[in-house]
Amino acid sequence: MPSAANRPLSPHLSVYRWQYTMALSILHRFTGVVLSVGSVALVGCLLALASGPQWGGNLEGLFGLRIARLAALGWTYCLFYHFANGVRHLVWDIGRGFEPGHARLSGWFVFLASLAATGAYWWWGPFAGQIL
Amino acid sequence: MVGALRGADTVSLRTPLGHAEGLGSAGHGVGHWWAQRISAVALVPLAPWFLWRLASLPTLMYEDLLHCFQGLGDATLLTAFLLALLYHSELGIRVVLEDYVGGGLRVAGLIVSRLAHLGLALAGLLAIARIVTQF
Repeated sequence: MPSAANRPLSPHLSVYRWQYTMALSILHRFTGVVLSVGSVALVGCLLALASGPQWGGNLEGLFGLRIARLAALGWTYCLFYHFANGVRHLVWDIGRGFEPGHARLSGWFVFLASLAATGAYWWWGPFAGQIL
Repeated sequence: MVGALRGADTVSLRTPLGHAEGLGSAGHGVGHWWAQRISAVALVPLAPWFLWRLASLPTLMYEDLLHCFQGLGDATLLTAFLLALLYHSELGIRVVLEDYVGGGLRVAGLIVSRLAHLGLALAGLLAIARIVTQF
């Protein structure tokens, strides 16, 4: 690549004025990384389940720990947020919702909807009434 | 500018070879972008299905969890969810490493991430196979 050193650089992030939509974008990456780490735990649970009643029974003990339920709560929030904001990205990919007003509105919707979905899931879901 | 293409009103910074190959600066064109979108679209129904399936269990005891995914349809969807999740995860971690980590650490990270995701997929698939055949 002979001209690689002469190519113009992309402007660094710090030249932009801070906007809350940037926080949403960072949160998308952050929740994605958390979900990746969580997938290790997910496969661990599947392995425990596959390893017979002794190991599978240990899962019950694990879910009995508050710290494990809190981690699962965080994982589901990350899933709901990354899911909702991911759909927002897919809508952008088909060329819609780019106007600043629309992007801010969909950002607020995604942020609040993922909080509401997490609350609803844990209120009615598998750990109903025993989060903490 | 070495090999700059000059049109009527634009000056391209890309070399003629680069322009013809259409692979961009990262060297693999739109392949990663498409793979990320396709795995994302696959996860749109699969992730809610997984959460719904867990939420519909009477308890989270061993027997309920085991029986939950033993049906052929449930095992198929769980496998699809696991593979789409891990594939999407590998693509995403790759972007994060490429954006925030430099030098040898990036190369090491990319290798570790690829191998870890492959290992998780392998372990997950074998686990599902054993879950399906357990009584």
